[in-house]
Amino acid sequence: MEEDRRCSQCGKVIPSDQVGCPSCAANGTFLRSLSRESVLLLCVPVLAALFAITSTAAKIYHSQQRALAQEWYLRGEADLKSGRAPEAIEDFGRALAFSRDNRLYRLRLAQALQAANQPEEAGPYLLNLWQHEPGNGTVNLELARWAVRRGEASAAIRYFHNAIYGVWEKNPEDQRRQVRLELCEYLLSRGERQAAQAVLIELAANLPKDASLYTHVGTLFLKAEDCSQALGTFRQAFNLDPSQQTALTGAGEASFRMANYRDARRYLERAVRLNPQDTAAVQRLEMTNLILSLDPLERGLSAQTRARRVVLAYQQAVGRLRACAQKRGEALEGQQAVTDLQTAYAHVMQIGPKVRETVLRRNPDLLMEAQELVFEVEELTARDCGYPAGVDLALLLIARKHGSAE
Amino acid sequence: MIRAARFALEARLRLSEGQIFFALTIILGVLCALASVLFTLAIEGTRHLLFGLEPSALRFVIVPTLVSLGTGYLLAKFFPEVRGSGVPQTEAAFHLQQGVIPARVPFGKFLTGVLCIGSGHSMGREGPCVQIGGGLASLLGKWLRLSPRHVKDLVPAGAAAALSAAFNTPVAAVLFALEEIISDMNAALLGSTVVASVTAVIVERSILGNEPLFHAPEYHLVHPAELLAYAALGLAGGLISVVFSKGLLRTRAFFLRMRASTAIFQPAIGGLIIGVVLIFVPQVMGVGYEYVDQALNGGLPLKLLLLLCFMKLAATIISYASGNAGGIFAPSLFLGAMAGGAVGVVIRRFAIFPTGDPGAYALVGMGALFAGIIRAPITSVFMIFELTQDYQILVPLMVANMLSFLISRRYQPRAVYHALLDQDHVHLPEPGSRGVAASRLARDIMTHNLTFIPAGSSVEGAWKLMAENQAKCFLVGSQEMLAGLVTRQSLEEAMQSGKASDPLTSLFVSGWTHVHPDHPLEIALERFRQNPGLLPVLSRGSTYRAEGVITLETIMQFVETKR
Repeated sequence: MEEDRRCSQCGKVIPSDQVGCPSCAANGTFLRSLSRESVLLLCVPVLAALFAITSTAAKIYHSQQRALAQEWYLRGEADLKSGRAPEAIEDFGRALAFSRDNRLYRLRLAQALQAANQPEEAGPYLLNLWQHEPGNGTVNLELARWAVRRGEASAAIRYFHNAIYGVWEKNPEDQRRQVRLELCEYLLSRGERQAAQAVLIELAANLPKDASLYTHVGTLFLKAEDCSQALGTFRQAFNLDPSQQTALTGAGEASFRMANYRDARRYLERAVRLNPQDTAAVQRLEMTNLILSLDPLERGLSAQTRARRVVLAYQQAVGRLRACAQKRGEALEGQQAVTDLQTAYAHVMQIGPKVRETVLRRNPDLLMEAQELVFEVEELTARDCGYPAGVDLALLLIARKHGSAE
Repeated sequence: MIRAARFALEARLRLSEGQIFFALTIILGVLCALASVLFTLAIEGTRHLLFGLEPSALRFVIVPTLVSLGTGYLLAKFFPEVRGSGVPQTEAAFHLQQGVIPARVPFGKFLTGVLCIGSGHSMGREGPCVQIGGGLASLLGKWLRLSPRHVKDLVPAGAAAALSAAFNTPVAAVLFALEEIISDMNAALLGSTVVASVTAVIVERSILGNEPLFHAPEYHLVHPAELLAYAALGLAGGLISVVFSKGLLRTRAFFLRMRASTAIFQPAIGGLIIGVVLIFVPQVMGVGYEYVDQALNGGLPLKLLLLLCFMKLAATIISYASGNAGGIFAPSLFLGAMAGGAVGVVIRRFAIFPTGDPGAYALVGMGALFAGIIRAPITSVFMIFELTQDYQILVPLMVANMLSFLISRRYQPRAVYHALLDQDHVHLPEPGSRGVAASRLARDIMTHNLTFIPAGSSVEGAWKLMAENQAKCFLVGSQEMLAGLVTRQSLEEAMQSGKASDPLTSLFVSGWTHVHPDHPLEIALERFRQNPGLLPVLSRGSTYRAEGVITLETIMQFVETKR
C-alpha cells in the first residue's frame, strides 16, 4: 500500500497518484517545479554549452590578438633591421601587449633594447627567457652580450659557452661558429690571449672550406699572438682561394712576426701584386726588404758585404745613440760614463777608429764585437727613447731576431 | 506498482543538503570561471572595438565620456548596487544579508564592468569578478532552495572561484575570501572555497592556458643590506597607499555630496576627465597589465615610472569616485609596480651595496601596495608568488608588505573597502568581532517600541508631543531615517527661554553614539554611558535605520529577566 508523502518544499501532502507536489508545481515556473537533483543534472549540459561558447570566444579573440601582434612584430623587425632601435622597442612592446606569452617577441624586444644601448632594461627580459629555456642558444648569446655591456666578464664567458653548446633552431653549426668568433674577440679585447687561442684552435679544427672564414680565424690567431697557427690558417685560406689577398698579407705578417723575413717577403710580394693599393702590405714589404738588406748575419753573404753591412749599421747606431742622448738631455762627450747611454757611447768611441770595412773583413772578432755593439745600442735606445722607425727599426728587429736565436 | 518503484528510486537518488552544497561548489567553480573568462574577453574586445589600434585624441575623449553617460544611466536606474569594486558589496551581502544578492547584480556588474573598463576607465576587473562570482553563488543557492546558511556559505566560494579564474591564482583567491570576505582565516568554509577555487582555475587554464599573468625573471635578495632598501620601499608603499585611500575617499565624498539628480551624469564627468588624461598618458587605460609586465622586467625608465605612478593614482581615484563600475585590485598592483620600479632605479643608482634589478623592486612594490590598499597582507604575499611563480623574493616581499600594511593602517585606520561602505552608511562588523559568539548582544537588551518626533517639528511641537512621555531623551525623524536625538532638559530650557518656535534641529544632541544589534553587551553599556539616557540601535545595512533603542528601563528589564 502506498503511503502519504509530504512535499519537502511546502510541507503539503502529495496525493498518492501524483509524482510531484501539485501545489508547488502550480505556483512555480517549470524550473522551480524541478527537483534539486534534476536542476543539478540540468546544469551539466548548460555548463558544457557555456564552456564551448567561452572556448570558441577565447579562440577567436586570441587569433585576432595573435594577428595584431604579428603585425607589430613585423614592423619591429623592419625597424630593427634598418637600425631604428627606439621604434623597434615600441613595436615589439606593442606586439607583446597583444601576445604577452610570446617568447620570440620578448627576445626581439630585448635585442632592440640592447641595440638602443639599454642593457639594464634588456636584462630582465633575457633572464626571464633563460629561466624558461636555459639551453636556448640565441637567449644565451644575447645574455652574453648583455653581460659584456655590464662588464660582467665571468657571466659573459659562461653565457657564451652556454650559447656554443646550446640549442639553435636554424644552422646550428654556423651559429655556434659565430658565437665562438664573438667569444674570441671578446677574450682578445680583455687581453686573455691564451683563452682566446684555445677557442680559436677548437674553431679552426671544424672550419668549413671557406677561405674568408679561414682568413678571419687567422686574423684572430694573429691578434692572439699565435703566429704559427695564424700562418697555418692563412695558408689554408689562400690554398682554398689563391686570390685571398688578405690571407697573403696575414701570412706575410705572421712570418714577419716570427722573423721569417724571407717567407714574409714572398707572401707580401704576392699580396702587393694582387692589391698594390694595400698600403699596410706595401709598408710591411718595404720593412722586410730593408731588414733583409741590412742583416749582416744573413746566410750566403761574402765577407766584404758582411763587413760593409756592419759598418753601415755601426754608423746608424752612433747617430741613433747621439740623437737619443740629446733627446734625453744627456751629454755624451767629456763626461765620466754614468748612464747606460754614456757607457755604450764610450764603448762605441773606443772601437770606433777600428770599424772600417777593410779592418773588419780581416778581423772577425772585431766584426762580431761591432755587430753586438750595434744590437746593444738599438735595444738600449729603443728602451730609453721609444720605438724607432726606418733603418733603426730594421736593425732593432735584426738584433731581436738574432738575440732570440742565441 | 510502477509508481511505487519510481518513488523508491526517487528517494534513493535524493541528495542530502550537504551533498547538494558540495556539488554546487563544483558547478559554481565552473560557472564562475566561465563568467570570469567571458568578462575578461568582453572587456578586451570592447576596448579594441571602441579604441582601435591607434586612437585619435578626439576618440580618447569621446569614448569614455559617452560610454560613461550610458553606464551612468544603467547604474542609476537599474543597477545601483554595482558601482565601484564589488568587493565591499559582497562583504556586506555576506555579513549583513545572509549572502542574499539580487539576481540582477551579477548581470548588471558584468554589463557595466565591461562598458566602464572597456571604455578606458582606470579600473580593475578582479573586484567586479568577485561580485559576479558572489552574485552567481547566491543566485544558484536560492534557485536550488538551499538553506539560508548554505546560501550564505556559497558566496565566498563563488567570489574565490571568480577571483581565482580572473587572476589565475587559486591559493590567493582562497586566502582573499577568508581574509577579506569572511575575515576569518580559520573559517569552516575553507573546504568549499578551495573546491570552487581549484575547479575554477582548472576551467580557466583549460581555456586560456597555464601561463602566469606576468613574466618576470626569478629575482632574489642580492645582499643582506638590500633588506633596508626593501624596507624603504615598504614605507613608500605605505605612504602611497594612504594617499590613494584618502584621495579616493575624499573625492568620492565630494561626488556623493552632489545632488542626487546628478548621479546619472557623475560617471560621465569621470569619463571626460579620464579621456583628457588618456590623450597624454594612454598607459593608464583600463587594467594596464602590459605595463606592469614591462615594469617587472625593468623595461621602463625612471621618469615614465614616476609619471605612470602618479597618473594611475589620479585616474583610478577619478574613475572610481565618479561612480563607475570597476575595481581597485589591478590599479593597486599597477601603482605598486611603478612605485617599486622607481624606487628600484633610484636605489640601484645610489646604493653603496649591491642591489637587484629594478624589476625585483617592482615585484615587491606590487605586494606592498596591495597590502597597503587592500589590507590583505597574507593574500598579497601568496598572490605575488602565484602571479610570478617566483618564491625567491618572499623575504623582501614580507618585509615590505608588513611595513606598508602598518604605515597604511597607522594613517588610514579604516581599510578602504570598509571606509567605502561607511560612506554608503553600511557598517560592517569589525574583523576581530566577526564570528565571535558573544553571549549577550545589544539586540537582547533593546526595545523595538520606538517613538519618534518628526524631524520637521518645532520646539513647541516636540514639547507637546512628548509632554506625557517621561523619557530623558527622544529620537527625532522616522524609523527609516533617524535624524538625531533631543533631551527633555534641552526642550524644557528652550521652552522656558522663549524659543518655542525654533526648529528642533537646533537642540540636537551633538556627538551621540550608536550600536548595531550584533554588538556585545559590554560595548552597548559603554556607549550607553556616553549618551544622554538613550542609545539608538541602528541597522548595519543602513545607519539611518533605527532597529531599536536601549534605555535604562530596557537594561533593568533585561537584568530582571536574567535573575
